[in-house]
Amino acid sequence: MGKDRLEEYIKDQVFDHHSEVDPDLIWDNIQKKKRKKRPFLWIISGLIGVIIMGIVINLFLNNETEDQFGLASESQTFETEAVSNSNYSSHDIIEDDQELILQEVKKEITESVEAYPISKQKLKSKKQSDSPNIVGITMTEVFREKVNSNIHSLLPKRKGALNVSFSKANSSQINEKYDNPRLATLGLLPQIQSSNPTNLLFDRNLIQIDSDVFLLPKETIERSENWTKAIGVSGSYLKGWRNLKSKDSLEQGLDYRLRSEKFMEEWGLGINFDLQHRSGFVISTGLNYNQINDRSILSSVTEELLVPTPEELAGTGVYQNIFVRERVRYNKIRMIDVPLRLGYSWQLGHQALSVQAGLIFNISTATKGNIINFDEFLEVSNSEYFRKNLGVSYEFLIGYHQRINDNWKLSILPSFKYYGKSFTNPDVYSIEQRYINLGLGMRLSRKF
Amino acid sequence: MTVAEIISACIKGSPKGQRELVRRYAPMLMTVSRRYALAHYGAQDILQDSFIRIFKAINQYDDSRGSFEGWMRKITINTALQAIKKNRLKTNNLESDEIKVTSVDPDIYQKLNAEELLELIKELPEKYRLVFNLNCVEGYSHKEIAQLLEIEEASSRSNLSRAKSLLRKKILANKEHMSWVRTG
Repeated sequence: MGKDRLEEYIKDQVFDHHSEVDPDLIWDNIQKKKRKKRPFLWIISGLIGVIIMGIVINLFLNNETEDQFGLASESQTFETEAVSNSNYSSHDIIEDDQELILQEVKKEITESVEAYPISKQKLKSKKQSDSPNIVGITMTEVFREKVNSNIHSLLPKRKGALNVSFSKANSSQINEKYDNPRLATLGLLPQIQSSNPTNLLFDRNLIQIDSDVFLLPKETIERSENWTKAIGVSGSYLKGWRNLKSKDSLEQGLDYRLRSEKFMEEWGLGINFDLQHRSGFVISTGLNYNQINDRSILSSVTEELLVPTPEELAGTGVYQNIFVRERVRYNKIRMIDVPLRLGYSWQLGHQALSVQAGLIFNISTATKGNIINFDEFLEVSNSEYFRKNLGVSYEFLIGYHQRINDNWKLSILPSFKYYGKSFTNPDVYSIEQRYINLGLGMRLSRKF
Repeated sequence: MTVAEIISACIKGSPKGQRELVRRYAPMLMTVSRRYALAHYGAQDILQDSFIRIFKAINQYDDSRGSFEGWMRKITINTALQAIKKNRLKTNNLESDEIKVTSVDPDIYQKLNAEELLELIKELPEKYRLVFNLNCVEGYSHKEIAQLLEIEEASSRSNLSRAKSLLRKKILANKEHMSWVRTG
């Protein structure tokens, strides 16, 4: 058997050889690998789902309310005067004739609700009446809940649906938010509740209530569009925590890196585009430049003999200097991202609070620096060890927004970022490198 | 199930078809995995990863371009090579180039069976083992090997030569050991 026959023999023996293997065990392990999920993805997806569902319900209820209430026709312009309380206090209430009283009540309630939906205000289009309706309807609902059942049955057969507007309009915000700030007249409601319909002086109270029912948010009158668009610039600074994981058994290398990497940060600059629906629903996107910096220090100890040292004295310290050398490297990961966030914003006068969650689509990633490979630095600038594109990461923002004037807004945004995909290329390098970053962003935006 | 039925079921994502594929081909592909496996990233891991890739890519299989078995072997080899690349950092320094070429009596290795040969191949240093497997067993040319392993063609040839020498040496040592076991 010659040289070539060795190869042939091995090939014959090995090529079609079937090893002993348990296919069921292999199958079970394959299923386990395929089932590996990232719980964070599910949390974010769930959060976005809840926000979207909330918005859809909100929009649906608003539309339904508008249809049922039908306060303003499409081209109608309202120009109404608040009704003087005296108009109603002059009514004669005949205590014995309950039917008559109830009819009067019904008439007055109906008139007051329908005839004075928007006191002292002008509306230019049907759209503009949406938000006022929300406030009005909400209060009507409150009213219904408070009065007793007889009166309740006389109220116009219109249902309000949304409590959010009412609940957030506390007294401290009324003057800022509404042109007709007479919400305080709600205080009269308990009187109605505790009285008998046959001897109520409800007419006066009701008129007051009605005139308050249709408080108009200032912003709604000024604005005729459903969506508000804003463009802005933003900056952020985040502290980073690196999550390193060895996929295989590179524990020693991993240990070096964990011990040597001292400080991580991320800063970013970007242009943002926000689209906010009147209901509070926000879509936000933009183009961001982000840079992750990390500082690594690798310590090494060297010994230098001062004089020729007898072998038996070596290491005693008398004849030698010990140098601790620290080598510092700054690594940079530069990224260009496009975020896509969904959220909800609560307007509180000149301020607003918001929550946003979304995805960050990474367009490109470039690296500069070194990683620790056992006891030495390994140059990895733009090398194949790193991905050129991360794919998708996740972001969660809480926002406080301060209106500077009608057009400008300043936002402070505590944010949480999770880079779910490893920055290292799994095909080449076995240590997975992820970041969890927490910090603060600021944004200056202008309506257009 | 015929092979065509298995492929069709796998394309549809049928777990039954996939399981049948694993049952039928795992022993054959396990041999491929074993020849490339690292000590710390086992043959079983490579085999499992390969099957996951096969399931994902099975709709791209074109029977006019080769046998189904050959296609799966290629996927398994690629999976193994990627696993090796990932671990290259820690294996680079483990190898020694000092090999003494030894001539071996050809009859010696005739008595070695496939399992024994696999064990000997597995003991080869990584860079020799890869070239030996790809060239001698799979039939890849040095040009293809150079592209796959990102090395020079000349290195591929030289590594193959060293792999064979080392293998002969190991076979001889194995033979001596076997003789000692048998006689002692």
